[in-house]
Amino acid sequence: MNIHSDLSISRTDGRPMYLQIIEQIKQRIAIGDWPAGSEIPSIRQLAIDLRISVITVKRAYFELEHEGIIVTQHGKGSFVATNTQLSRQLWEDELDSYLEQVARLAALLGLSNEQLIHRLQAAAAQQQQELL
Amino acid sequence: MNSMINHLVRKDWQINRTMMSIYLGAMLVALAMLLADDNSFVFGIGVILILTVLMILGIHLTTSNVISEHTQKTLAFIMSLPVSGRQYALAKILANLSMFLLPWLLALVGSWLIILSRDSLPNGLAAITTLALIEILLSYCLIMMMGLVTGSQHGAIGAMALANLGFQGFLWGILQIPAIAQHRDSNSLAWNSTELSILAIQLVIIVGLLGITLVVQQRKTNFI
Amino acid sequence: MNTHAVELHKVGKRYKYFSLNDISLSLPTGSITGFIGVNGAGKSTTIRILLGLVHQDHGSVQVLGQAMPEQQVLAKREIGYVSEDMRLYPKASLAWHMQFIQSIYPNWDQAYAEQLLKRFDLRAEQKIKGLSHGQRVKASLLLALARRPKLLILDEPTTGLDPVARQEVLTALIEVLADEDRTILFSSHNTLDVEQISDQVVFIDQGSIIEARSKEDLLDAWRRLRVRVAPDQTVAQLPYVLQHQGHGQLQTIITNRYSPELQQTYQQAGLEIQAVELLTLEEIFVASIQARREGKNL
Repeated sequence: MNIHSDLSISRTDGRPMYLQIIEQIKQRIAIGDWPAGSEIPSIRQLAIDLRISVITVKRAYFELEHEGIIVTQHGKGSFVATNTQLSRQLWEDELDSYLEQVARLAALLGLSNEQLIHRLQAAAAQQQQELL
Repeated sequence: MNSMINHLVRKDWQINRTMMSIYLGAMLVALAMLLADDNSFVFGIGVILILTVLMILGIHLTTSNVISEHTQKTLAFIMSLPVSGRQYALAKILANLSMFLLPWLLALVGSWLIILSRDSLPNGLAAITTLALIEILLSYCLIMMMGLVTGSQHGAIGAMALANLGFQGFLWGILQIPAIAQHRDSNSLAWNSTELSILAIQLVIIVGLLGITLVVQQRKTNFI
Repeated sequence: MNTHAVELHKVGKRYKYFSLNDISLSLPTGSITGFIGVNGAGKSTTIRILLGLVHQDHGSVQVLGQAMPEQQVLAKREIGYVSEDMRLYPKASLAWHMQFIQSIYPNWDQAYAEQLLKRFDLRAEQKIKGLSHGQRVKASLLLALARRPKLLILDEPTTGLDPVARQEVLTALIEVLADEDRTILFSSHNTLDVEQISDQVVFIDQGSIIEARSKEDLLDAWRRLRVRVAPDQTVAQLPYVLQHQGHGQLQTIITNRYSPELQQTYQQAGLEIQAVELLTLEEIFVASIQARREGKNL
């Protein structure tokens, strides 16, 4: 199966384009849009679809490969790795990276750990209420 | 002939075909006027028109087909094609010369026919007419060379002034030469040695001008 | 196939008021290189040397395996060139130009040309003098693209284009690279375009190349650090500080050698690092030029 890439790059995002690609591919894999074992767009194809340079996509694929999320077979293309634990792991990684950001912002604002935990609890409570 | 040169010559003809048909038409009109009685006003105008058409064509070709490549920046487009500086110069010379020579030959052959077919015109006129037309061709080569080599309006205008003075001086000068003045009024077709020498000098100068143009163009290190 | 479509080695050219100083540069086959410099920095001169339109005083120039300017006829069979200061014949139509180019290049792809006509919203029968600036650029680009050249050299292709035309042009360029044998060099002073589509970035200033590397590496190496310094401390002596701003306790540093180790070095020197930010290519370009003109080593 060949997946049509429906990723998009934001110019105002502030994060490098390769990180945006990594994150969006991870999301698609995590929610099951791109199932394990399926073929993903070639580097050049994705670069053309997104109108960005080949080297940027290459870098994103390289890191995804390094993390074991995709595998690239020479002459055949790139595929989503067949690792069932992956999606859970991806969300864990995602959470960690958000928490890092939170910690950084908290330090900028000069919040103490107690204040930070308090704010986090409030956010969690809010989220639960929205779900109900 | 190299196919790229061929393409470039054809290109110049295509780009300038409207202009060329106007000049060829004007030349035919001028020649038609020579059919009138040779003492008539119309005949006189016809002669002046032939000279004028050739003079203006020479200037027009140089501005619209040589200098305009620089001023309209089409030179970069042409030089990005698989062509060398020498091929470009050769193609330009061939295209311009062929465009100039077509009405020029009409004028030459037309005037010969009129002179030879009429008893009222001495056949000796053919020689001086030919020399005058070749002088115009020489003037044109000078203007074209300056246009090609300098690529600027100024260079060509200088050459135009020089060519115009040169032509007037030439006409005045050769009529001062007794051998030529006498031949003009006689009915002999054969050229005398003075005329042949002038013809030879003219041809050498024309070949020289074209040769210098090619050499200068080939030695250029900046084409744009 | 050559691994490099273009190789310049110590190429120099001297003019009265400008000189190109021994520039060396290579463009890997299959890549897009963005060539950035202010007006008059030497972009056009370099490009003209690549095409054999200007002959270098010294140094070797290889384009698609051909020595320039000697072998320019062979090389130019495989080169498509579009430049801001290049014009088509005003009195002729686009169709005439297409016919003309087709007669010269055996690789001309008529189907692709017609597809580009539609995408660029151009009418073949229209005379060039009736076209807007954007349409002229797109017409020139069409003529260059449809001959399927191995090397596309574009001098300021997006300058003066409206946003829609710019995106159309960039899209057409990036599509060229679907074929791995083809290489693009494009000069611009619009760093946004370069940042979007190029694999390699080259900065040129005052006739010298001051940076030539992978765009990802370049963006990765530069950081802006917002730091808090002790009142008696000066940051200028720290390693790899290219620029610093501010005189109070809160200052910003720009470095072009960022790594976690460098961050540690700064921390050990007593800086309190509050934020680490990426720079845009434009900021990197401007900082590079300024640093060089101040005599700092990049």
